[in-house]
Amino acid sequence: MRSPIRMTRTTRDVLEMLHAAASRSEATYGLEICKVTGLGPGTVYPILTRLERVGWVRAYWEEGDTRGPRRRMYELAGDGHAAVADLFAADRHDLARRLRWS
Amino acid sequence: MIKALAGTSAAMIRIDSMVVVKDGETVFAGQLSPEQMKAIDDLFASGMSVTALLSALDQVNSSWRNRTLTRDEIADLLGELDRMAQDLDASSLSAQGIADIAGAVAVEPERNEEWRRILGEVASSGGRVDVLRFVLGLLYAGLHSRISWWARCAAVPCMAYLCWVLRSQVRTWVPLLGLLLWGGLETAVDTGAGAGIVFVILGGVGFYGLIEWLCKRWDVQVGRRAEDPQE
Repeated sequence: MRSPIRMTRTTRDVLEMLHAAASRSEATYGLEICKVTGLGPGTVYPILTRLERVGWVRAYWEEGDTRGPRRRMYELAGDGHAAVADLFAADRHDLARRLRWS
Repeated sequence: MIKALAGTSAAMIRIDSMVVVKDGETVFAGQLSPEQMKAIDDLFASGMSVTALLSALDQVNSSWRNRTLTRDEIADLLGELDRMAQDLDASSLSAQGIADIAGAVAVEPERNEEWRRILGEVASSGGRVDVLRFVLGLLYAGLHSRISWWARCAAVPCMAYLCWVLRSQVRTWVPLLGLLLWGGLETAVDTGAGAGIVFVILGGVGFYGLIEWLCKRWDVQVGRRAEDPQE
């Protein structure tokens, strides 16, 4: 089955960042993703929108801080976990294949 | 007021024109002019936290820490703060304006509030160039959101129409053959019969390849197979 998301380098970076946050049982937010991945908001937000649309990412408003605009949090959800697992498995497979060549 | 700050590490209390700022163990108090009151209100309205405010104060005059300032020093400091707020107003006004436009252009309604929040965070920690670069990124994201939404809206009826055409050999090939023959005729009149025949053959092969590729990509069943999948 074809993936609903085209797996570009920048999409992988965002997914890896979300996976790293999920492994700490945390959610992350747009500015943090920009800072950690080194990508601009013009790259990160279209990717987050696509991931949210296909259900790989869940977004919600941060609770607690009621003063001023709220922070929107993002976390891996649904097929996103499986997609990231597939991504890492493919990376491992690719690495193993390359190592056998050398 | 100072007692009320017990247990906090960084805080500011303002009652009317009286202000008390605490950072760690240092506390100072002063009386604000109306302009200074407005400057502080504006700084907080722009999303600047107490820690960021104190950091900004530190940049103005690093010697204020670890001691209680005199009334004159507080007045100088707040004067600097007032000038900073005016500068911030000028730069953040344009940045905030662009962010508002970006939020309004984006299809997702939550982007407006989300981007106002992160712009406040960027403004409190970065310089003007960083803020401008960031807000231009937000504008791009907003435009991308809107344009891709239009493209998705337009793609659905266009694809439905193309699939309907591709499901029938007649609907697909009659207009294409007409086009090929007309092009071949024009080429034959302009260049010669040989060139016209080559045009028709090459055009036919090209269209055939394109149609096969589209049918495969969009999983279009042609002819009777589409009408009766049992056969």
